[in-house]
This record gives sequence, structure tokens and C-alpha cells, in this order.
Amino acid sequence: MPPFHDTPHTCTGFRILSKERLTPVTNRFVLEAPWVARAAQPGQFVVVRVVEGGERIPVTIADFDAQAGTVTIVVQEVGRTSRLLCALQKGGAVLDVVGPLGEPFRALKGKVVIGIGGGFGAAALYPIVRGLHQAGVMTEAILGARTKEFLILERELRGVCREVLSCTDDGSYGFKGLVTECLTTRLPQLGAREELEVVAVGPMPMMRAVAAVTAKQGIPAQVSLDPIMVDGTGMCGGCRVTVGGEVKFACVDGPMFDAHQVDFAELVRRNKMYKAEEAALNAG
Amino acid sequence: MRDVKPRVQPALQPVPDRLRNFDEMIQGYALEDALEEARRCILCKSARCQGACPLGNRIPQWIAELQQGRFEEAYRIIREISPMPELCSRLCPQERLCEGACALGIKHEPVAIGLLERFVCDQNRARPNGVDPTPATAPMTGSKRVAAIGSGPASLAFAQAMARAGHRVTVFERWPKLGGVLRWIPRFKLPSELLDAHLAMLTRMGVTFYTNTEVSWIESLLTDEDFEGVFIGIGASRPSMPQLPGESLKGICSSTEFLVRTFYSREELPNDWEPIADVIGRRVVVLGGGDSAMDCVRTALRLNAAEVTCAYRRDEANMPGSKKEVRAAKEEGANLQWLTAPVAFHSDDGRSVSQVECLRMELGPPDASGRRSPKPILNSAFRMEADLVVLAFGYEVESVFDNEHFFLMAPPKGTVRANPNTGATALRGVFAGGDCVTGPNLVCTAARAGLTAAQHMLRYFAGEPWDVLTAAPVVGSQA
Repeated sequence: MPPFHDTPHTCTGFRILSKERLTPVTNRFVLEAPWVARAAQPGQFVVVRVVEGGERIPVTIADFDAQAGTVTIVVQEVGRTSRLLCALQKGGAVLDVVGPLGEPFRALKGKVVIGIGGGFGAAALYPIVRGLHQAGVMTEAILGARTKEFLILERELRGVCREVLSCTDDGSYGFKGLVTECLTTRLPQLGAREELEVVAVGPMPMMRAVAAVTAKQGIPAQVSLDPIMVDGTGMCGGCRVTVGGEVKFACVDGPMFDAHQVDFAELVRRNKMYKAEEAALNAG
Repeated sequence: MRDVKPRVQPALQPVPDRLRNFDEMIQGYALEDALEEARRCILCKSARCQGACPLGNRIPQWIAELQQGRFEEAYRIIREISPMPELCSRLCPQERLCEGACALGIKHEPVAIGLLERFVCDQNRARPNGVDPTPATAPMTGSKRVAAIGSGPASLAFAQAMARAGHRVTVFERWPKLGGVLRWIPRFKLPSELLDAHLAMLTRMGVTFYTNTEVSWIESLLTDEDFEGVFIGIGASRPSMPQLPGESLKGICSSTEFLVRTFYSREELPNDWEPIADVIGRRVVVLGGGDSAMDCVRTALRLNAAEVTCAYRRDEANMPGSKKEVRAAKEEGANLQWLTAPVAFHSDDGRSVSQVECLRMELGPPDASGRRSPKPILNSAFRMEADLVVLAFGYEVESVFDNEHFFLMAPPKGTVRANPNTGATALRGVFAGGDCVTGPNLVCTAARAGLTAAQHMLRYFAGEPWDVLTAAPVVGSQA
């Protein structure tokens, strides 16, 4: 039954088919949203509103199944709306799921793609890496978190990667240190630089560091600027960022951008950036 | 030579009052004033006003009824042509349209057509047994399901025309509130209850609205959702960015951000945005010279800014917006700097904007648009102090469909390609119109585009071949 046969879905909202706690502050929701699921592509996001009159928050699509008509989102409790959302249970519903929005991820020409996920950025990374894997690209992943309990989606990523390396700040699991340090040690084992490509999703300081490391090594890299997005539909310009000397909007021109063209110094100066950093610090 | 009386001025809120509220500045005509003004119309046969109205509103006809005091009949005539006269009478730049063409205006002041239209509409609303503004709809037999994407003036006009013809219309809007650009017009120009009343009327006509719904796959509406026709009316909502050094400093925002944060409540604002409750003591600089620049200037004045400066690169005569807005902004105390163009933004602390560096300009020969193009004057750079800068450089079309339907969009600004005479796009069954086709234009021209598309969708349903509907040169107006 197509979703638009004369009874507004907004009456009932978008049903939560499952909810799973991934870390003490992170939840995975599978939502019934056939309309969104059918058009979704890796790298895109949705705008979610939990209650009538509530704020709109952009959330990256962590998985989608066009056949089943479902969209998966991973939500970290960082603000009032994400807390409200995380309080919902299976069988409940969110009011709106608007999307898919943003430009889909486009791989460059790398034969080997290393996906880097910081904190709950692993959720946004997963459909991108899976898409590449399905397209026959050799994929690897490096996951980073504060401690073992904040590390997510390792098992899922193993299913679509030939290698998954995990790092924790405290060494409670995997490599002790930052994802960039892990990347630097991994690179010499990967052979020809010209065949490599990096995709990083995570807190802004992590992506900035990945941009610096890959630039130095001459490896193409893309980063997701969804931490700075505001309304998600390109009408406010609140998420503007200079990329390659040109002002772009993260929500509609992105969220993925060439990491080496992004003016991170400018992003740091902007208010939103500090918020993103705080969120990263609070939640690992 | 006949004696011509001066134009009757409407009641206005005095400036000091205006600056303390967001109520309508123009309070409209009282009955006697309206009759007196209507009688200034000479009901000329040529009806230049009607020709100059994008909708072809039969102005002399309803003014003739008004002169006789037949208000209901006047309203009926207006409503036969205009899908939203309550809105257009307030928002049109009449001095460039009907009133600009008024024969009386050649030697005297033109008839106040906009104010008269507003009077007729307000009268009708106020009367307990006024004409129901809901037009009769045709019987639903043989009706088809049609979709409109976006809920701005183009889509609303399209929806009304299709519902009137007996079809079942569904309007999709990505935002929680309906109305598109009409939602961002400050309340002192368009009270929000008028928009709500218009939407309620469309609902009574059987139009279904889905808010918070993104349509990113047009074909699927036709193939999977049983719609037989689609209208794209997504407008031009992406703020143009001037690409100047320092543009990303704190304290610089787009006109949309400024207006949304002022007029939306805290709960409705996206992603932890702070509402703007006032700008007391702050020096606000608005850059740009169109209607949205004036909206921001006048909103900032009402929010008690210490000073509001507006810089525009051409001169007053070449401002693109409505003259009545510029006049009101001046009355309200705005400092308008013409022939002034920003070149960079500077910051004292490296984070927030503190000055706008500008150049003085002079007008050169006319450009492609027919307006004289501004050229910078050598060594004229100066700085304006600013605590808040609002960028109002106009809007572009966001190219949302280009992944799937690159052929619907014309580069470089991503306008939707459609036959301007019919609204037909390259995709069978899909029409488009309004700002997303032409680039930013007026509410009335968008409404006309919606009506044109509806008229041709009906012909398509009646069997007119698609290649006939697309036959005229398919161009985006940017081209």
C-alpha cells in the first residue's frame, strides 16, 4: 500500500520497529518510512522531529532497506531533542522523518577505501562502506572511541570490510591512541598510495586531523560536515563553509566534501563548531 | 480638462507606534475613503491596468461595481481571476504593475488599485454573510489525483485551480508549516491569519496537505503513488552568498536565518538555534536592496536596533523591490546607503564581525537586464561599524532533483526547465512553475505560473500530446 492514499501519515507518525542501545548514550532505531527508504542513498540524511512544535534535527541515515521500507538512524543523546528521541521505545513513533536530504556519497577512483568512524560517526560510515563493498571496492575501516563501551558497529562493518581496526583513547580495546595514529601505522602496509582513498565521519577535530594526515600523504579524502548542519534544507545558510575558496552549504552541497579543500580553521572559529567539539568531548 | 482629485491616503500606523509592534503598517481604507478613491477611476476602455496585471485581473470591471457600492459583486469578479487577492493586494509592487500602467497616472496620481482590492477583500471577510471565498468545485467524477511539490504561491494557485476543476490535489511541503515564501513575509506586511485563512479555504476545497515530506523522486509519484500529474513549485529558497572575505564570521547571517529566528518560536527553530528577541543597542547592517532586504531592515528597526543601515550597490531608482517598502523603511528611520557595495568583513577579535568594508559605486551603461550596472569608484573604500550583518542578496533555486533528473534542471543555478507558456517539463506528466523556473520573482507571477500549469495539465488530461505541450522553446529564464 503506497503511503499517500488519502490518510495523512502525520496522524500516526513514523513507527519505531526496533530500538537498541549501542552505548550508554547512543541508540539505534529502525523506523518504518517506506517513502524515505525507497529514495535513500549512502551519505544522505533525514530531518527528524519528535513532537509537534518540536525542533528539527538532521540525523544521518545509518541504514536503509527499500524492500522492507525501513530507515535506520543512530542517535546520540547530546541535546534536548536527541534526549527526547532516545526516550522513545519500540512501538512508539516519531512525528516526522523528512528526507532523504543532501548529496549522496560519490566515491572517487580509489581501489582501496579506508573508512574512518569517530564515535557515533561509525553509524553514518556504515552505509557508505557497505555501498562501496557492494560495488566491488576493497574496503577497510578504522573505528575510534573514548573507551570500549563507546565503540559501535564494529561487527556490522566487519561484514563489509576486509579489515576493521579499532582504537580507544584509553587502550581499553584495540589500538591505544587516535584514529589518525592508527591510520599512519596502517598506511605502509597498504601499498600504492594512488590506489587509496579515505572517507572520515566523526567529530570535527578528528576529521580535521584526518584531513591533515591524508594531505601530507597525498591520499584523497572526504569528510562529512553534518556536525555543522542546522535546518538541513539549504534555506538558512547557517551551515556555510568555505570549500576550495568557495562558500558552500554543508546540508545541500554536502554533507561530504573534499577534506583537503575544507577550511577547517574557519570552521573552528564558528560558534557551531565549538558546540560540535563539546558534544564530542561529552560523549566520546 | 476634468478635475482630478488627489489619491485618497489610507490610514497608517504612526511611525512611533509601528516601531513598537509587528501589526500591519497600512490599515486600509474606511468605506467612505474606498468609495471616494474608486470614483477616481475613469473606467477607461483600454484597461491598461488589467494588461499590466500578471494575472489579468479585470480591474475596471470590479472598480465599476465598487463605485456603485456593490461590494459582493466586486469581490466575485476579483475572485474569478485571482486565486489569492487577499495576499496579492498586500504584496504586489503595484507601482510597477497595475498602478504603473494606470491612465490617470500619466498626468496625475494613479488609482490606488492595490488598496481598493484589499478593501474589497477585507470587507468581504468582515461581513458575516460575505461571499464565500471558496470557489465552487466541479463534480468529482472522472477526477484524477495530482500532486504539487512545495506549498508556496505557485503550488497554492495550482492546487486551487485543479481542485476547482474537480481533481484531488495533494500538496507536499518539506517544512512543518505551509506557505513556502509566504511564511517568511513579516507580519507587518502580511498578517499570518490571512495565509492561514487561505490554506483553510483550500482544505475546504478538498486539497490534502502533507507537511514534513520531502519528495526526492518525482517519477515515483507517477509510477508508484497513482498520481497522474505533478506540479513542481519548489521556489527559490537558497540564499545567494556574495563570496566575500570574512563571510563566515559570527554575527553574519542570511536574511532567511534572521527572519526565521525572529518569527519562529524557540521550540520550532532547528538544531538549538537561539531565537532573536531583540537587537537592542546593536548596529545592524543589511546588505542588498530587494524586498527581503527591506523586510530585514524594518524587522531590525522593530527589534530596537541602535541603528539600521542598508547598503545597496545601485541607486534608489534602480532598487529591485517595491517602492512602498523603501518609503516605509525610510520613514521608520533606516539609513539607506545607495551606490555602496561590500567587499569584505572584518573582525576585531577574530571571531565576530565588527566592520563591513565597502566601496562607493557609480552607475555605468545598462547591463543585460536593462538596469545600469554599478562600477566601483577608485580609492573609495570605507568601513561601516556593525554588530550584526544580514546578507540579503536574493535567492537561488536549490537543485534538489539533479541526481535523478538532470534534464529538468538548467545550469548554473539549477532552475527547473519548463516551457514558460505551458509549464510542461521534459518529464511526461510533470509541470513546473514559479520561482524555481524563473528565478526569484513576484508572488503574483508565481501564482500565474501555477494557474498556467493547471490549465495545461487539464489539456494534458483531455488528451493533448506531451510533445505539443513542450513544443515551444524549453528554456529556463536564467539561460
